[in-house]
Amino acid sequence: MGYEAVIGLEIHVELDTASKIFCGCPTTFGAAPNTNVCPICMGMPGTLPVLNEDVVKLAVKAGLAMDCDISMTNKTDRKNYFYPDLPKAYQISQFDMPICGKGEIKFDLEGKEKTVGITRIHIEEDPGKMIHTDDGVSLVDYNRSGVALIEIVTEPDIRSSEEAVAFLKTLKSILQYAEISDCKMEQGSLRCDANISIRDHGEEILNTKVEIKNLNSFKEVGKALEKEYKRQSDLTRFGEGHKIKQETRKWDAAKGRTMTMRTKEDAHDYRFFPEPDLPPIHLETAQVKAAQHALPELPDAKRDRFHDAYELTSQEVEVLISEKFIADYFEEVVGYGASPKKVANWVIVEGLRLLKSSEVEEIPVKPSHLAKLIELVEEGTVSVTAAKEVFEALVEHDEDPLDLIDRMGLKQNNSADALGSIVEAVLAEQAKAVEDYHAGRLESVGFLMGQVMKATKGQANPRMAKELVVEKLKACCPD
Amino acid sequence: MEFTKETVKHIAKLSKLEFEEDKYDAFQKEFVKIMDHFENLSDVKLEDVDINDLEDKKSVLRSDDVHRFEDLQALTKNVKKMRDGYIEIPKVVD
Amino acid sequence: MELKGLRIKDMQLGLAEGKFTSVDLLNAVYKRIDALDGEIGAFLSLTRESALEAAQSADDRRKKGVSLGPLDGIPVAIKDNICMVGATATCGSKMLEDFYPPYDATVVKKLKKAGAVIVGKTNMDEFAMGSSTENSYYKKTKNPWDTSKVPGGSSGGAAASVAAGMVPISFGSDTGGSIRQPAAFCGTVGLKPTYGRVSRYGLIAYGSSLDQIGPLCPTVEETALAFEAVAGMDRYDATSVHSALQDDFMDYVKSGAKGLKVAIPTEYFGDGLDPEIKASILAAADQLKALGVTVEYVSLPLEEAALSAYYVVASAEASSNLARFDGIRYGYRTDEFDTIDELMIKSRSEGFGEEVKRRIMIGTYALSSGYYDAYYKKAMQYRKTMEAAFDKIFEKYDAVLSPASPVLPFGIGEKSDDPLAMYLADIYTVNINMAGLPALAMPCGVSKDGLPIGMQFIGRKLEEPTLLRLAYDLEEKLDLPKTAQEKEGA
Repeated sequence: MGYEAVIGLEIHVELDTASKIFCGCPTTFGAAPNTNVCPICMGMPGTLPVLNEDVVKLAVKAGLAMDCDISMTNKTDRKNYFYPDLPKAYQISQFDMPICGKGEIKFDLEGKEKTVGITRIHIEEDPGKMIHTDDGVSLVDYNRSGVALIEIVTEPDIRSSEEAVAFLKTLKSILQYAEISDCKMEQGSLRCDANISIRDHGEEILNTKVEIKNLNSFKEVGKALEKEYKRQSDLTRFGEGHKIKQETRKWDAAKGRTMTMRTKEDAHDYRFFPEPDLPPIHLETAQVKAAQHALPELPDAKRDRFHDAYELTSQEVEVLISEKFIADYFEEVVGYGASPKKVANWVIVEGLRLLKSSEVEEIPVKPSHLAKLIELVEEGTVSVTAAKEVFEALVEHDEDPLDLIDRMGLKQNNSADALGSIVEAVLAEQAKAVEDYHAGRLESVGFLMGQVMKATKGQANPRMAKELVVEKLKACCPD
Repeated sequence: MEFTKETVKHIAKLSKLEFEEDKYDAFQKEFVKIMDHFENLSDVKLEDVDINDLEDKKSVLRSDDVHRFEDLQALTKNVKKMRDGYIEIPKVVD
Repeated sequence: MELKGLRIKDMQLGLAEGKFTSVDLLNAVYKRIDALDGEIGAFLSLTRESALEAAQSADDRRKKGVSLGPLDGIPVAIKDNICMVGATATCGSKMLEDFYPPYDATVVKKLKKAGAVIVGKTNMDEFAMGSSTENSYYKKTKNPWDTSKVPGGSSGGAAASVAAGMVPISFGSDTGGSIRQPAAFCGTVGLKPTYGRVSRYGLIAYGSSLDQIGPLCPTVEETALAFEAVAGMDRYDATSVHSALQDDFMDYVKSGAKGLKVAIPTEYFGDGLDPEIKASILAAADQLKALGVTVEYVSLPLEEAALSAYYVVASAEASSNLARFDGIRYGYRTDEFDTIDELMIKSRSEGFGEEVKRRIMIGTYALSSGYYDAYYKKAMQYRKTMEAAFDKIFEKYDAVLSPASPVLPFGIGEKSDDPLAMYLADIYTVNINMAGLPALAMPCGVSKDGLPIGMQFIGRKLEEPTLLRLAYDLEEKLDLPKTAQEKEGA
């Protein structure tokens, strides 16, 4: 009988603003070192911060999306510590009056609904970045310094590494849906630290917790939590639970374990005090109401609505809502009158296939074109196989699918007479198959069909072809 | 008020300052004198003054516009050591 | 040309009449500086090239009949904690000996826009911490009235440059009296604006919730002109306030003090105050009465706790503001280091002077875990009560009359051994910064030893015009020498 894991997460999310939190520098990723900088975000003497209004908007949005209490009056504080990537030697953050209070996120895990409480959300600035070289130096780049962040702190409600990963996926989805952040962990726009302690099942107390850092993907979060859980469990089981210290451990992905971090200083004394250079943040009720209205339909709600509105399987719904732009695309195509089931199929199979090779997060075929294409297939103007070719072509050629079909010579041959002659010709050639059919081998139909399709270069309407083959087979030699 | 040499050393560490060993004693004495004087603050009745009463201060926000700083060179002009556009410092070990 | 006795309006007249050019004016200024400053030590650096360009531009404009205003072509000095491109901003410290700011302070931008000719950066107590300018790493500044005396601090260089008749305007900064006390010591007018009235963007911070930039000039009228040029909301300073000066601002300043009501706090004139200063201020109060101003005694306690509160807040904010000086991005870097920690610790310990280190330590302590409530929080609470006490007086009165310093200018080296004694001398000035109020220091007499005696008017928030109006009228009545150069017998 194992111990119960008590897990809480601290997630830092870079907000999707054009400029930094306190200055007008751009926030673009990947710029040459120390080029997205100015005296303010480099902490030059004499400079002062001025708060970006979109940072406040997005933080409020995030809070609303997670059902948090919004603090109508909140303020910033200085968090003082020395580190080369922190140009002012203090980080402007929020200490005792954060912008959002308690909230929650619900998600599904293996059919069960789970709720994780949010303790708070606050705004703060990102420090710069350091690269450590092999020849004994570190290199500092302040491009990231001053990028706007929200820090989301969860209650220790998570009970397993699977739950942690599911939570993170849900959070990411919510944040992307609400256009708060692009949440690219590989680019650092979403970072996660985890806190874990263990206890006997049924207990309420919170034992010594360990913080884990350097988690670079959701997968690593899951793995690290499992490893740390095992480490703590093993120690406790063998009566060495006292060896679990309140510390920060670094996850080493290569070695597959957590390790004690060299402490930068003795326990940090951040000496928080209210930021004197910034007045408090006063939110208006009207402003918050407007933000609530402006919130797009979030994943949960969309899932429910899709289940009600469209006759799709749970799996299909999950794929469609996995990204907001996919769900939006799906609904746009349906909006042109195409059958939801068919659209879902096209989007999930063909659409996502195109996405894989695309750099941009969008399905590169106009919704109206896809709708038309589906219609054309239903009419019989083009076969499904041919339609897939047309779909590919629509990526490069923004044209009416019908025109493309003509140009590509993919129009399905639906003329019964022309087809009839071809069938007769095939039957004449394939005497053995015809004999087999009459001998009772019905699978010859398939073979003959294949020959007909070959003869028509795939353009024959398969259904029609089959009918004609069977008809003419029966007609030729009456039993 | 208990203000030992250890306290002074701890504060110096937090402030990233260091003094010669003999200076600590002199500093400690001075410090004690000054901090003792500040004790007169505790004589004043202030329990019900709320420093988080922020009602009279208005919010000040700027719009999310990008302004590039014109003179990037001037920003790193004061740096003692650069390498390939980065600021070079002795290796920081975590 | 002769600078003695030349006020800004005289300069403008002379320029307009073609008697001399801005370049002539500038040359006269540098001539005087070159002759006197070896002794006085008001300046840390002179910006000769850019000043010449600015003066030439002013002359070109004048030829075309264009004027940017009353400061166009007028020489100005700036305290060395205000950032200006092309000049160092040392803050009187070894830490910033070779620091060239990559941007102009908003105040500098405004002065350039007004056509002012910035001639150089003035000496100061290191990082604005001090009351005598003796804490400067570079040099001591001498009081032009008596070179054995200090000019006050921390804007000692700015005050001395004006008192020595080198420039008609200088700009200093005031966190706990650093404009007003040197103004009083050097016999000039000095204005600390309401907190937020003048942009702090580009002022190297000491006490963020207390700092303000303000002018020091020989007369009230010049102070008003200088103030007008730099006041105003700035989008780069979130603590700056919206409040335009009235259109007929200068007319208002000259409209006479009659009808205004001034309060004199009895507690301010107790035993700790030098009797000569006391007598001089009270005599000035009588002159105010003669001008038709109502002058009445009120009770406004002068608590020493106020000083403690100020030092806790200022030091706390300073400890945080000065943490960025670690040798990495700018400033002094120690020669020998193996680790990043060594780099930071040694650079800071070698780059900062004694007083600065002392205040950083006090500030760090006041904010540290376990002490925040006892010191910083208490100080901030006390601050609110100070504001409330002044508000009460301002319900009935337009200004409070107060000494600017409890002592006359003291001898160089006389007080530098006792930091606590230095702090206590700020008793009349720190409460104003804590309450965010404007205050104007002006000369009210001369001591029997020939030293300037100053006093200050304290006003309601944003009511600098009222203070200037009071001072303008009184200045005319008192008719004191405007610079050390112009003192009787000089």
